[in-house]
Amino acid sequence: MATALDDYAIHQIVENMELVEGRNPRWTDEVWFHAGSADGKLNISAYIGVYPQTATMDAAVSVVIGGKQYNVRASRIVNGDRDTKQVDCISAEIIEPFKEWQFIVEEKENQPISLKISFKSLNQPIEVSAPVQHRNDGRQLVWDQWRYVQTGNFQGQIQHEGETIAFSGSGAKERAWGIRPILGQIPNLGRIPESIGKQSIWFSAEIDNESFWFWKIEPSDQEHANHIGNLSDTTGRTKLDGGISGPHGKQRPSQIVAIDSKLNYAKNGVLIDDSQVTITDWNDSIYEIEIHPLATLYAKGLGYGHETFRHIEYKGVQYENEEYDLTSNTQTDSLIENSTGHLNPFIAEQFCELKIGKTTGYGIVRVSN
Amino acid sequence: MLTELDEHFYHQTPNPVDTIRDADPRFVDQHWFQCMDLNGRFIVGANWPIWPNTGIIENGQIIVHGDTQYNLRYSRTLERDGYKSDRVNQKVGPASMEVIEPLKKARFLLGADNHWGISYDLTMETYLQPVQTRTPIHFAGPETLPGVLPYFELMGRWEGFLKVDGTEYEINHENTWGQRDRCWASLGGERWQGWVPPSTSTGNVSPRRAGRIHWHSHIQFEDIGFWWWMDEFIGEPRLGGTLADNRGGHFDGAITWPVNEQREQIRLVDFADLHIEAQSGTTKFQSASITLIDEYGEEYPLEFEIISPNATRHIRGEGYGSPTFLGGFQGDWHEEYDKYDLSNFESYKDFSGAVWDGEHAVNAIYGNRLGMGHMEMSGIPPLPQWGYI
Repeated sequence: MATALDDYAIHQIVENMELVEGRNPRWTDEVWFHAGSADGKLNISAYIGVYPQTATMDAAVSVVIGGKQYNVRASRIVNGDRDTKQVDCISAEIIEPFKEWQFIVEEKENQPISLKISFKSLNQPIEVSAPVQHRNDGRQLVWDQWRYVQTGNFQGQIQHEGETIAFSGSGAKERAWGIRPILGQIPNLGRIPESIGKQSIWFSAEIDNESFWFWKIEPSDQEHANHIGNLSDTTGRTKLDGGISGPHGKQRPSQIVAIDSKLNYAKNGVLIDDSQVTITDWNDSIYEIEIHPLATLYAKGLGYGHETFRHIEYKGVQYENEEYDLTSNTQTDSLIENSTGHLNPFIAEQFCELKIGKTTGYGIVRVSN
Repeated sequence: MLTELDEHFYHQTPNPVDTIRDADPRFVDQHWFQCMDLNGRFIVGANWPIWPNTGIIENGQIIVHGDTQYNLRYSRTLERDGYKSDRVNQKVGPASMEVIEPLKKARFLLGADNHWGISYDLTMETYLQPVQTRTPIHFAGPETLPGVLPYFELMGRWEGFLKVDGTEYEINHENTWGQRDRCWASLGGERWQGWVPPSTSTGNVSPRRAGRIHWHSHIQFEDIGFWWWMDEFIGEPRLGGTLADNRGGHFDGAITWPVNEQREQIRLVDFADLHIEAQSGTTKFQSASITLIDEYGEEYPLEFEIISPNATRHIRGEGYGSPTFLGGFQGDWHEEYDKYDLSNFESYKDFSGAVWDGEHAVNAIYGNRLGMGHMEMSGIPPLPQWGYI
């Protein structure tokens, strides 16, 4: 049935706007943010996404402050309102496309965290050159997803257990839509892929007014790993996509063509300690970047691999909040543990200080090994 | 390539909204409207098809004033403008449109800087609940290249002005009713006929062969509205409730209610007692009657009469049936214009070969209710019961 969106000439298929191409239940349209403060004392990640095939919109926010990770998650039923980015107390709003978004978590009884932050980006988005794709054994489609990333500044306020804290930080926003890996959460539909790459690193940064984003996935079979394909490549080459962008309206982003990384893994490959990456773009510009992690946040708080909040699935109306003591190894391990079968490439997100020579910037790093 | 549309949660494929993953060059996303004076002084209508895979937007205008039909046809290419998507920029030469409030209000404009010097600023407020076909229309192209057309209709009341032939008309909800529709489709037509096997139809939305009556109507009364689409083949079986089967006749429709009423729409599934009259000595439409039958078996007898003898738009003026318009690339910018003298049937009967042909503005009677509406009608002989052999 026609909904308000059908009144605009924006269709991509010959179906009403509430419907999407194909019948894969893992179809998503999401926005994700990660922001951190330069002193590493505040670390925030959030997303909101619509899943048209399951008539579901999910949203979640995780805030790390004072050694604890606070998580708020909510889900609602979608009924002709897939572009209304509001789920219970969590909402997102486009203030100006590609330039400003706002993200709000309203106060709620027995909820220790609420916030209102805006994200502003002065630089162009960096998009994939083709959909991210991955198949296992040539059958199950793990990904078929377009995405872009922007870096920028975050400003706003956080209420934490009755105290109002001004927040000023930096980070990234990512938009993605299409089919994404939630395999395993749906049982007995086929062999679950062993991995989605031997080593994967997702990196965003803003340094000296330039934005960087790349995602590199090395194949399990290393025979052709020294050759580079894009994120759609299924031939066994290393997958790499990304770019370097400048201000809106200026020269289009340059494409990243090679990454040389020296990653010092921690926590069994979930995290990194101080590391280095060297980025080469198609202009043969080379950027040697020192990475110094400042703060860590665990994606299970956002629902990835969570036992009671099964991402994307129909959950009706659901709301929950919780907190973890990150100084406790037991609790940290429980955030890393994934017993749900949810295939999540990145268990943690690290807000990092980055240096090119003497120039300092900030960014987000996610790894799997 | 990203545009501002990609910031929203309304993707339907894993591609930017501005592009279509299905590379079908026939993909079209279209606005259309018809605005009718209740006194028969004018009819205004236009289409705005956008062809995202071939990078074209078109606009066809028809203004019927008295006995004259004025036509304007424009085409331009879609261009990049930073983060703006030209897909949602419906300015084509002097013509433009915007959806002010989805499903509720839309505005259509024509600047006077066109060949005929006609201008208007027309806003339609939806009066009746939107109606959509129960199934997408499986249009009558060849079996090897089927087309699908999701389609919905909005009936409402207009306000604004029209300036034509030195006269300015004030348009308000009391004197001007009409409708607009939205469709998006893998549509075909004339430009594909050389590529595909012969078809019993011409690739048009409706199957077209001998013995056929096409009748598509939007009829409004104060408290009720009727919408239906039929393709009837005399002597052949008819399937009600869907337009997705072209093997015989088919019919789909709905009864709708004012937007402020919380009433469920009722589907129309069949009809009976079809009667159509032509104007004396011509094949031009004059009057008709029909009994519509809803999904519960209830019957709705309706009668119609054309508001004035030439209250008809011939959609050739918008580009339908044209070998170049509706999806044909004509350079970065193209415009053309013509006009028809509707009082001289001989002058345009060559492209109006079907009987009762055109988009008519009609007065309507349902019981003791008086209303008006739009009637898209054509008949292809033989239709012996009406004397067309």
